[in-house]
Amino acid sequence: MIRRFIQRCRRDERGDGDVAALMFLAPAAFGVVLLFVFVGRQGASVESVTHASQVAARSASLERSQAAAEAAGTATAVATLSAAGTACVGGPEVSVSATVWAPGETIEVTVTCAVATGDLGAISAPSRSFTATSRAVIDTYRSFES
Amino acid sequence: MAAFIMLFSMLTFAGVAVVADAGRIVSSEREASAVAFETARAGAQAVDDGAIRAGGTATLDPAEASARAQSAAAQLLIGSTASLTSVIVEGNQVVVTVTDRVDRWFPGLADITITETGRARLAVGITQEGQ
Repeated sequence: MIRRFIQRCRRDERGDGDVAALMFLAPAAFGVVLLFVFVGRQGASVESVTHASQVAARSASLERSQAAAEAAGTATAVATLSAAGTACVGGPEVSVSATVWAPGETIEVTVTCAVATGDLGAISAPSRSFTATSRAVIDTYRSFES
Repeated sequence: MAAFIMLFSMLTFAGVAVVADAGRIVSSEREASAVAFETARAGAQAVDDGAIRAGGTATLDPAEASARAQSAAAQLLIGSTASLTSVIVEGNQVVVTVTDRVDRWFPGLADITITETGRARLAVGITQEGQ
């Protein structure tokens, strides 16, 4: 009788499913949460870099010389990214250019930021670089020296 | 168990697609909005020189404002999927509408069209630095 009971216990698989589900669910749920954090952070980074380039272009267009416009555009992009909490590996790259530095012409600012993903190593999140380009028009009646 | 894994995977994929789509829509809206405002600002600088020289108040030249806005939009929209929809001059105000189309990553959902409007008006009375 005891032997039969032991054999029945050995054959009984009731409860195994819960353990297997837990073993699968726990790491999978953790991974999914990190995946959502990764995707959300990518979206926020794109948004932040785009916004920084737009603000930098407007800032550069308000200056009165090429040198001042380049300095203002770079400083504004760095400050905007910093204020948004977007950390760029090695700092952001900012380029300020214009086809013609003159009133009524267009200033172009390109911001590139390699977003750090070191804290998402559990899902081997790759580091990605985002680039955004924005343009602004120099005021027609602004005194501007190239 | 297999069915559960299938369902779990599909929900995860759908969730990621929704988050990614939302980010792209917001980004496109912001870009279209920035272009609309910059275009309107460029148009609102078309002061009617003749009216000022004749001793009148500063007003916008509607034809020149529209032309400047369209010229600026052509420059501002280089490399963008957005397009200039309309430029309307209302008195001393320029109203610009820019539209863009965002294709969805979420399977089965139709593309979404974004419409952003920017307004700028002629500013007078700025005579000193910093005003």
